Amino acid sequence: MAHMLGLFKEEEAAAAANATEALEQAGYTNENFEILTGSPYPEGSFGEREAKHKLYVFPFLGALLGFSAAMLITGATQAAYPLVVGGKPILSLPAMTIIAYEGTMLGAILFTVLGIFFESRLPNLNAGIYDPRITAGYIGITVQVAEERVNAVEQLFQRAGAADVIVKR
Amino acid sequence: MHSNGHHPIAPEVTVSEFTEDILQRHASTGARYRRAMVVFGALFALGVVGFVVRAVGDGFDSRLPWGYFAATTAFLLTTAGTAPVLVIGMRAVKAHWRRPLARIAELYGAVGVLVFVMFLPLLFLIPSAENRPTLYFQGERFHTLGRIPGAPQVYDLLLLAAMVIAAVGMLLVSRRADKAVLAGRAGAPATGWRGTRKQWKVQAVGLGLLGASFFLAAVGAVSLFSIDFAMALVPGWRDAIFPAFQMITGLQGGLATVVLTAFFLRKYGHFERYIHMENFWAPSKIMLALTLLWFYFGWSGFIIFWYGRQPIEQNLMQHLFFGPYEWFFYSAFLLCFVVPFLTLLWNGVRKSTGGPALAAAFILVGNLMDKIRIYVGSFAIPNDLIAEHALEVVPPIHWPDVFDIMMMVGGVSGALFLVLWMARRVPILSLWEMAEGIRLRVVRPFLRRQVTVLGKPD
Repeated sequence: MAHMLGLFKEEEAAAAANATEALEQAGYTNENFEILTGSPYPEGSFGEREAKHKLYVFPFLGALLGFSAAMLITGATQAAYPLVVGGKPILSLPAMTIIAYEGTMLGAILFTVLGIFFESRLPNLNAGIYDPRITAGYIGITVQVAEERVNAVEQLFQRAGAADVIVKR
Repeated sequence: MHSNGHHPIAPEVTVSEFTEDILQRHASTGARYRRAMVVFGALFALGVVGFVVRAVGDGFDSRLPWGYFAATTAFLLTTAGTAPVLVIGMRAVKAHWRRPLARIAELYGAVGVLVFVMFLPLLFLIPSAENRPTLYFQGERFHTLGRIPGAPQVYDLLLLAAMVIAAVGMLLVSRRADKAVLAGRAGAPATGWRGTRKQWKVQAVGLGLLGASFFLAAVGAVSLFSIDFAMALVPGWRDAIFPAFQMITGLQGGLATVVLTAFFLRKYGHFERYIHMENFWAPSKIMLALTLLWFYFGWSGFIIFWYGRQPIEQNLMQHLFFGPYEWFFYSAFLLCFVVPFLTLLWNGVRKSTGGPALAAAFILVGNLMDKIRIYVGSFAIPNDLIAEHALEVVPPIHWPDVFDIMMMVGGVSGALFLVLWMARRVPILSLWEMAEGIRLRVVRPFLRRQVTVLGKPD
């Protein structure tokens, strides 16, 4: 298998969108190619499908863990001194609120930061085919193709208006 | 095409023009910028000297000598510390005018680290929550055997840590794409950021989640700080509105910090091409609303003491408003409410770059006066009196000495130095966020004038 990168100038962004269409017509699906840009474009600008991620799970998980830890600390503290005061229950929730809030927030924030790095697969020193011109505004389309189809895809990129095509075997 | 007195529409700029210009500016440091860094760095060092002299000379047994240090910490917490709130809210509502201000607000997130460091010595100055009226109500006096370990210090520390982690996290996440551009220009290898659709999506969602978390943590941190380092130290001071009032001063101060910085950046950094009148006009309306809220919350707290007039409240009113710190109270009232309100009331003032910046400068000075009134006054109460039922004697005013002034000037300078230092590591205008906005904005003729057309993909 070869990795290919078609590079399109920023002012020819429409050509990049045409290239993804041509790739789909050639039998490649959204899962086979990837769009690389130096700054964000509105979702779906190149005809690509919505990117899936599981980032929302991380803060919930962190919040749940932080909340549980806080409840455990405060609950265990109160249970260690089981004295009924003024008819109030031994496990009194108002006394646990502040620490539960703090635990929840801290857990959610830490897990969100971790989640962002995990979901973005960062750091990744071997992230695949790339060209620094993308940071200068070029739009990149990467696709993994079988060796025998390299020429066909290269022509496809060039017909669409690519400024350059890079092949990595 | 004539403007007929209407404010001219900012002309279009291309993404590549913008990126090249910002990268060029980022690559070189002007003489004025270097001078500012040297001056603020030297003043910060002076503040550190003041801190060391105070710590060696007075130790941490008495709170009184640390009042101005606490006021400076509170000032930074409710100005630079809360500055990222602006970008969070405006990203959430997809306001385009936020774009040139976003990175400025994020850079102030780094000041949170300084606030956190300044906060650490303050923890040694307050006693444990045992047998004194705090949020925790624990000890024999309150008939509880159970103890929440480390209260209140550990919990103040945890929430402030959460706030700082969220702020620094936002800055780091936001700078990754710009860092890749800088690395690309320098020919350095990419460390994983390729700008895939998923990475952009995760960044957008992550910034949203971190922003929401930052806001919740900031509300808690500012509230707990005001309770444990002010209200709980003054006998008889029980005010449910005060923590919320302090958060309002934090939102107002944070916004004022960003607006004033944007003004200096535009005027002295020559960013007129990217920071326009609308970037002041839009936040000035929020600033006006927050100014009114400042009065509403302040008044709501004040009126309870005023109408209550119980013996316990009379001395408290003297202590907080009309006694030794009355001029600080009047200054805060004037600079945080009266002057900004009377200034921002007029659309002509709001619809300018200088008007909102001037109001922001007044607000920041007023915020400092407010913190001196609250924290220096509260730190003047000795430990053996803080658990009393009422404030029997109003302590006299504690004026700053030379070391207090060194610490105050040093603290503020340290924050500015940190922002200037960070701005050398990450472009002062967000490359990716501005580029995204530039692509969605065009100027088109409309009958006899020109109008801005904004694309809204969502």
